[in-house]
This record gives sequence, structure tokens and C-alpha cells, in this order.
Amino acid sequence: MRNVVITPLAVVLLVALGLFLTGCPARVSDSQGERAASGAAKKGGRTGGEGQSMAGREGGGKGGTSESIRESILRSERDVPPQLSARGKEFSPADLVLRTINFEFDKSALTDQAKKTLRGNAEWLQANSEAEVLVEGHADERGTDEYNLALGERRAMSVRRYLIGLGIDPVRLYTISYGEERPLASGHDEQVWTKNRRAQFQVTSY
Amino acid sequence: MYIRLIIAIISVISVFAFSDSEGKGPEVFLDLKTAGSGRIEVAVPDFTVGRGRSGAYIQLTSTMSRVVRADLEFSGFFKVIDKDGFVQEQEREDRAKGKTNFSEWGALGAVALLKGEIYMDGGQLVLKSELFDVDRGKRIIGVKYSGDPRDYRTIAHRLSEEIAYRLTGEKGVFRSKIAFVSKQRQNKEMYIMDYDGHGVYRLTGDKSLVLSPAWSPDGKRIAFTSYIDNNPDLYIINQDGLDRRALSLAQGLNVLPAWSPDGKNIAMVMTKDGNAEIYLIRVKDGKLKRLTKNRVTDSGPAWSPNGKRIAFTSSRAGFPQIHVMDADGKNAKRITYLGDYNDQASWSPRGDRLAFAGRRDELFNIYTINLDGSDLKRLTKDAGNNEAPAWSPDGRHIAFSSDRNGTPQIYIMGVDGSGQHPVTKLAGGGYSPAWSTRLGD
Repeated sequence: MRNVVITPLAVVLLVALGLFLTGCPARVSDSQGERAASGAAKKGGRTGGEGQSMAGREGGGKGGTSESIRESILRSERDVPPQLSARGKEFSPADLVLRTINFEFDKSALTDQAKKTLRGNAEWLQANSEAEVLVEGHADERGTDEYNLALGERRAMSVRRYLIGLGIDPVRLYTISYGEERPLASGHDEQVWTKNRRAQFQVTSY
Repeated sequence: MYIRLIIAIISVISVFAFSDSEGKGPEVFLDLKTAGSGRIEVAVPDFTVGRGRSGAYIQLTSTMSRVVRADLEFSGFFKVIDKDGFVQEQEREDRAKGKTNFSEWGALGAVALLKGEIYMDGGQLVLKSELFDVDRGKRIIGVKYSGDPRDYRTIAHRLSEEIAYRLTGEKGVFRSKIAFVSKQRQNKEMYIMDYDGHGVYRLTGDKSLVLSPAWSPDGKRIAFTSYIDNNPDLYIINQDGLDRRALSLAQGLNVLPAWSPDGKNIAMVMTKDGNAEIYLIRVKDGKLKRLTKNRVTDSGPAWSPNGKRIAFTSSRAGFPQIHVMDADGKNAKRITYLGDYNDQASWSPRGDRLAFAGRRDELFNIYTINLDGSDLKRLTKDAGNNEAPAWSPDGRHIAFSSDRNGTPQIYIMGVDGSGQHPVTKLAGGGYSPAWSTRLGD
């Protein structure tokens, strides 16, 4: 519902910004405007290379992709189904309904505590079958920025795998890694690091 | 905030006297006496305002000469004579007498003497300069540059470049730029600055996370990652901020781009097939080629200057270590063995060494190492975390990010670790420096 209210506003903003930005090389606008602009840029970028890097595993939307995903699940029960892109979707923080889990240092394996929490999250997801979820993987500050991107990704994937195992439809589960870029707590001690090594959740409206 | 489009158009009006013709190569005056350090001792008095010309830009006379002095000193080839009062006094005396007193300049210790005057001509700022061999009392070169007055620093850098080239055969990095990332609240955006930290301007306004800029070999474009669209995607943008386009939009990571030396491919890290692996993506059409395949994280690709090999970080030993493989992904070989966390490899422009960040006792420091794993050198010490080394295009310096004074900022040091100094002092800090090739004509 919120989106319906916001959309006309965003359009007005976009038009205004478009006028404002005419002839200005700087990319200065709010994120709504930027998203639209970069979407357009992407279309340009795709034209030469359709069906190559961009096609691969990601689908443009739910449309035709979910079928091929189901096929791949049938093909191999053990394989985790390929991911959908979360781009273009609007997620909101889900702290109230989906609890954050934590990881051990430099690990992406789920602790018993994390599994227990995820089972609770899975119950909510089963009761709210319209909701789609973005799983964010995060790392503490101790590694390099670069390497922690991969660590955050592994954490998000390991949560996704577990939720799929609990029967959640893979097409509802998106992942993103923020590495160490979005700490929950600031500081440089074990307590802070423990908080920041986490996977947290966002949901679409449900 | 607007980005000022910096298109420094500096025309070389004339290079007179000993100017050599194309193809003949530089006339290098290495027979100049050098200081004990092996540096050429040069005096650079404040430039003057051209005779009978407007004094509107008089404040630039000292600023531009200061830029040149800093350039020459930075290069490591010159010792700029710093007996400031005497240098200025001798210059005033020369001007009063209308004659350069070389024996006095020699007495001040100068082997070379650089004089310059500036004036405005038809809206253009002109810098006219002469370099003298003090011993012989002879002019080595005379040059004249002009450009938009707002580009006064670039005009001064252009002069430094010519002086360095004539006296050492190397043009230096005075017209190179450093791309980096800085925070704006929770977000990160990409910025570009001159090598000396001046002229900072913002290239993205994503209000999201922008990470790891990488220059194309010709210095015209920059590849980087942005989260603007809910996924870490790979983009390319011109260094003037125009023509941004997406190159890789696969689900998951599309990060840590590194251009091949021929500019045709970008090596990067993707997770679309399950875990972090290194891929090549062809710039013209996005065609992908996978280079690594195993169950652990492979990350941080860096090309050898001849394009035949790629350094990268892999956890195949159980923890992150620097490896090198052929450009087709074959023959991976581990390079680093000391310490349990080595990452961010950067290949020296001469191809002989790798710089990287290694963690010991919870702190990162910059190291360099030979390709066979020998001659490990530690360049930073007892100064917080030091990460993300990036070689200067001439291989004489390394830029890096250090939190030694709080918020991480970009620093530069010599390849031996000498002269470590900050080049940014930004509220949002400085991360992930990438050093361009020498830009300009």
C-alpha cells in the first residue's frame, strides 16, 4: 500500500530531477531517480551482450524464471537452486518478525542457536506465504573489505540453503552480501564483532 | 553539489631552444652534478608575473611554483633547495639587474635553476619557464604552456613533467589521478583526485555502496561496483563522469574488477555459480569466461603488466593467501606463506613484485614480495591498519589506505616505505585507492 502512495510522488520527483539535471554530468538525485536511471543504463549495456553475462542464472523477474528454477530443483535435489535477482524490489526491515542470526568468526556454518532461530523464521514465512525475503550476509571488520564480501555472501547463502531445506520456496528467498560495510554496532571489540557477524532479513510487503 | 568537468586543455604553445624532434628521444642531462642522495639539486624561485602584464593572477605565482617544487621533490630525482629566503632574494636580485647570476645560484647549491613567469593572454593562463644548467650558465630548455586559469595546478604539473623528462628521462606521475571511495554517512561514493590529493571531485551519487574502482589501462574509464540496484553489480564510467553503463548484473557478487593490460577484458569476482570465483568479462559484449573452480573463496584478481598472469587471493590453503595463475586460470601457484591472512594483491608496473596487505596480530600492513616468494619486505609498521596497496604508474610509489590517525585516509609512500604521508583528509575517509596511468596529451 505504501508504494502506491509513494509512486506518483516519485514520478513528480523524477521529472523535476530530470529537468534539474539536464546538461549536468553529475549523478545527483535521490535513490528512486538513480534506480530508474541505472535501469535505463542497463538496457543500453545489455544490447550487445544479450544472453551472456547478464542472462546466466539471474532472471529479470518472477515471470518465466520460476519454472526453470523448479526444473532445476527436480533435476537435482541436493543442488541449491539458482538465485533470483533482488533488483528492482522494495524490501523493508523485518526485525520484528524475522530474527537476526549470528556466526562464529570467519565461519558461514550455522550454529545450533542460529538453526533454532531460523526454524522460528521459517514458521513465520510459512504463515505469510506472500512475503519475499532478502537475506543480508554481514561480516565483522577484521578481514579486508574485499574478502569480507565473499564471506557475507557465503553466510547469506547458507541461510538460504537452510530455509529451503525447511520447505520455503526458493523463489521467495533473495540474498545480498554487504561484507563489513553495514555494521550493526560500532566499536572494535569482541562484543561488537559478534553482533556484526550476522545474517539479517528484509521482507517485501505481505 | 556539482561535479566540475575537468577537461584540462593545455596547449603547448612552444618548446624552444633544445627541443628535440619526434622519435629522437629525450635529451637527458644526467651529467648534472647530483647531491649525495643522487638527487639533482634544483632551485625553483617563486614564479613572477610577466613583464607589463596584468597582476590579477599574482597569487598564482607562488602557488604554481609550490606545485612544481612539490612535484620535483616527490619524484625522488630532485632535491629542491629549501633555503627559501636566499632563493627568493637571489631571484629578486637577478630581476633587478636583468641578468641571472649563475655563480650566486651555484653558491646556493643549485645545479639546476628553474624560473617561470605567468600572465593572462586572451582568457588563457600562460606559464613560460626556463631551465638552466647552473655550472655551464646555459639555458637547457624554454617552454610555454597555456590553459584555463582554473587548471593552474595541471599547468604547473605539465611543467614538472617536462623538467623531469628532460633531466631524468622519466615523465613522472604528476598528471596521474587516484580514484578512491569515501563515505557519506552510511554510504560510499567514488571520487577522483590528482596524485597529490588536490582537485577532489565526486563521480557517483548513488546514495548506496560504491566499491573498488579500477582504471582502464588508458586512463579513460573506471570500472567499479555499486549496490544502487539491490545487488553488487559491475559498472563502467568515463573518468569525466559521463557514459555510465552496467557491465555485469549477475545475481550475487560482481566485484573487484581488474582490467587486462590490453583493456579488452576485466577480471572480477562473481558468486553466481555458488561461491566466489574469478571470471573474465569481455568489455565490448559482456562475454564471460570462468577462470577458477573450487569449493573455497577465490578473490581479488590483479593482472601482470604483460597480461599473461593474474595474481589473486584464495583460501585453498584454509585461509586467504596470495596466489598467481596463468591468465587462462591454469597453473595456480601459492606465493605467500607467512601469516594467516594475505589479500589485496597489486602487481608492480615493472612486473617483478607484488604488493599486498597481510594481517599479523589483528593488524594489516603493506608488504611487497618477489613472484617466487622471496625477498618479502614490510613497508608499514606501528601505524594502525594499512590496506589496499596500489602502485603508481611508474612503480616508484604505493598508495594505500591507513587508519593510523583515526578515520582511514589515502596515504602515499615510496616503494621502500619511505616518506609515508596522507593525501586525503576527508571527513568520510579514503578507501580503495586506484592509481591511473599518466593522463594528458
